[in-house]
Amino acid sequence: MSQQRYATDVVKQTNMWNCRPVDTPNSASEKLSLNDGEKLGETDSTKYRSVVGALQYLTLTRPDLSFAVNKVCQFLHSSTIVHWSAVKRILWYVKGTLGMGLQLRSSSSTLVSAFSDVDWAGCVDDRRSTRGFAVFFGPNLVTWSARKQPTVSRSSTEAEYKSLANATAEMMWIQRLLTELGISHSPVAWLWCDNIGAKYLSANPVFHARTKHIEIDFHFVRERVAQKPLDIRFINTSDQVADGFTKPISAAKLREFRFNLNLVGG
Amino acid sequence: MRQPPGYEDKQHLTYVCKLDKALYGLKQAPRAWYARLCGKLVQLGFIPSKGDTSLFFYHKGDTTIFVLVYVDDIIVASSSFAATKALLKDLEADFALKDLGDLHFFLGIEVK
Repeated sequence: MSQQRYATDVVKQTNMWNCRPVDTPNSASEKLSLNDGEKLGETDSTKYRSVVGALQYLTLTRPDLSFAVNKVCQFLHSSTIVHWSAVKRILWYVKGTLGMGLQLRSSSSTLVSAFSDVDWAGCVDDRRSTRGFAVFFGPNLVTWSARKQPTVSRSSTEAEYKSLANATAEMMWIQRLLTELGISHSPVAWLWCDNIGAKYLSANPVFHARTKHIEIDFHFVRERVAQKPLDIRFINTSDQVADGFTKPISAAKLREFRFNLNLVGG
Repeated sequence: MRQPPGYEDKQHLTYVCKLDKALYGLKQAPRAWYARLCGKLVQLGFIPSKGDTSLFFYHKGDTTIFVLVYVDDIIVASSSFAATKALLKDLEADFALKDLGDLHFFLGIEVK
């Protein structure tokens, strides 16, 4: 599945057709902030919103853009010159990868699995964390998300745990949908997480004093783990598939990220 | 025929307005359309999915059909070609439709 024609239209309409393509959608060193740079005027702000909206539709088949587009979406209410350059960079990247799309393969595997990751306190303005997850059915990526968390987390484990709760909810939806459609799937879903603290917490309520404020998320995940439809497994950060949903990554890492998500072509 | 709520003419209770033009984007329109399409599909034996309201499915014997709806763009996935044909024929009785053949494009997404 690809949106080649749509991507081409977006790049052409924004007059970026003759630009030089870049190999990543966002700069790995620069962190965008709300107040950086000069505010855009009214017409430019409208254009900013319209282009970002167009890019958001492109993320439907382009999970590699999810993080970058979500980031620029956070400044829709007061966009600046700096944010606009970030949008342009995404467009340059899209220009170089017009035909890229998601590949779906037939497979005998019926495992529902997910990768959940978080960039703790990643936002420089309000110190909220960015979370991301990718849910697979067999080898195929079916749903994913990159978002800023709605509350501030005081520890990385806390942020990671909230992200696990979100990924769990998404997996439950997929499992129920499969059951409803009469498609057999393995009874236990695997959730890969790179925070050992969050994993321990899902099995055993240790450090109660430090986690009692996330009790709802905590009990939600824990119930699923105790009843067995969910198995939380530890994965090394370097093998974490959802990494690219939470932070800007290098070109080499991006290639790996795309490979893991079954993104092909370009 | 009834006078629309809020626009009743007390003196002429039997009168109704003549519709000159259909209004696009009426806020009741999406719900009315969904009710109509859903009603028809349910009548044909489809079950609306609880996990995704725009997905309908049908299981009978060896035949399985999935119907995915985006307003008036519809994808049909079926285990047999004959079943798809029969479904299209049933829908054609109630709606004007165009069969675009094999899936290549859906909402700007290319399928190869």
